[in-house]
Amino acid sequence: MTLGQCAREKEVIDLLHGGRWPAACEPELREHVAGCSLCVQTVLLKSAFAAALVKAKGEVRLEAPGVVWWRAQLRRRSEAVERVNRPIVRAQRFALLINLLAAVALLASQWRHGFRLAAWLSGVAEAPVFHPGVLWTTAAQQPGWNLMVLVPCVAAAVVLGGITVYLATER
Amino acid sequence: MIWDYAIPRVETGVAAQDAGHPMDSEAFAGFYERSARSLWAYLARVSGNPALADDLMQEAYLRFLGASHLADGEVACRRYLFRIATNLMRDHWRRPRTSSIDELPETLFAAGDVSAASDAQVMLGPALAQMRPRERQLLWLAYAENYTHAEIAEITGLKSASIRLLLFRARRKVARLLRKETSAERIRA
Repeated sequence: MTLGQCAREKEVIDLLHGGRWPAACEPELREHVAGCSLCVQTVLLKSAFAAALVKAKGEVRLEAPGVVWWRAQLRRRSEAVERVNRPIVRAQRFALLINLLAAVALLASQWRHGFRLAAWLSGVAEAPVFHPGVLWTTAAQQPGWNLMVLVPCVAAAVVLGGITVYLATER
Repeated sequence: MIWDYAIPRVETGVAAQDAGHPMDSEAFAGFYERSARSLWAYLARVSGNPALADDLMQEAYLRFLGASHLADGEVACRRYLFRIATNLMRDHWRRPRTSSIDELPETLFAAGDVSAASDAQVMLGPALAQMRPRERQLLWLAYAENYTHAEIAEITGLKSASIRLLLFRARRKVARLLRKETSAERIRA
């Protein structure tokens, strides 16, 4: 397909852009335009669209730029809050998943042993972990126990401390 | 909050530029005054729906201001703004629930006050109504906004060579429609 182009079209466009058409147009160019279908098309379209643009510009009811600016700032802020909160939401979901898994594991073990929850709780209560005296004696006798007790204690302290700091700063 | 530093405050005035904004509120106000009417005209005439043009224009400015980096210079910013608006319009047409631009009634495009306009200007509305959205877009950008093929390619995301061909066809079509409408109007008169 050949795309029609006229060598003098640019001159016509320049005159139209500058608002100098047809007043500042030389008779020779005007004569050319009258005989050139492409230039006639250009003049027709340029003037029709320019008039439509002027008319449309008069129809718009603009908001104050300050309002638009303010809305954009609010959006930026809420997007930033969402971005910052994303890891916390992920951590909460992870914690919920772990809790659910633990609950399922507990229920499964109870189901296997016939749901003797009271007996299991009393068994847990008698465990050396909840009796510091017995725990220290055991830990002193078996060196491996030191780490087994220390690591979960430190981890629990860190988690609880983190939660406390978060809640305090949030408030 | 402990991570307040990461969240931008709602700033006004020049302080906003220091907070990482590419444009401060005063510069934006000037830019808005100079570009909003043209942008609205583009959206309204291409979509044929002034209410939609209002919504899309607001969204376009919000996204423009949300950009972390803006090109230097008003011309480039304006081009970027038109690009955002073009993408928003395209997304709107792609949504299944909204009506297609091709289903919009012709009256939406018709000119209201015709007293002072020439024949071709009056007939542009009905002629545009018979064009495809893409054709309306290209014609408006080329003949109302005076963008070059390369600039239209940047705004619409099409290749410059395709713009040339599409614009040539659209131009021929709209000129034919304008001539047809104008002669029909003369016969009626």
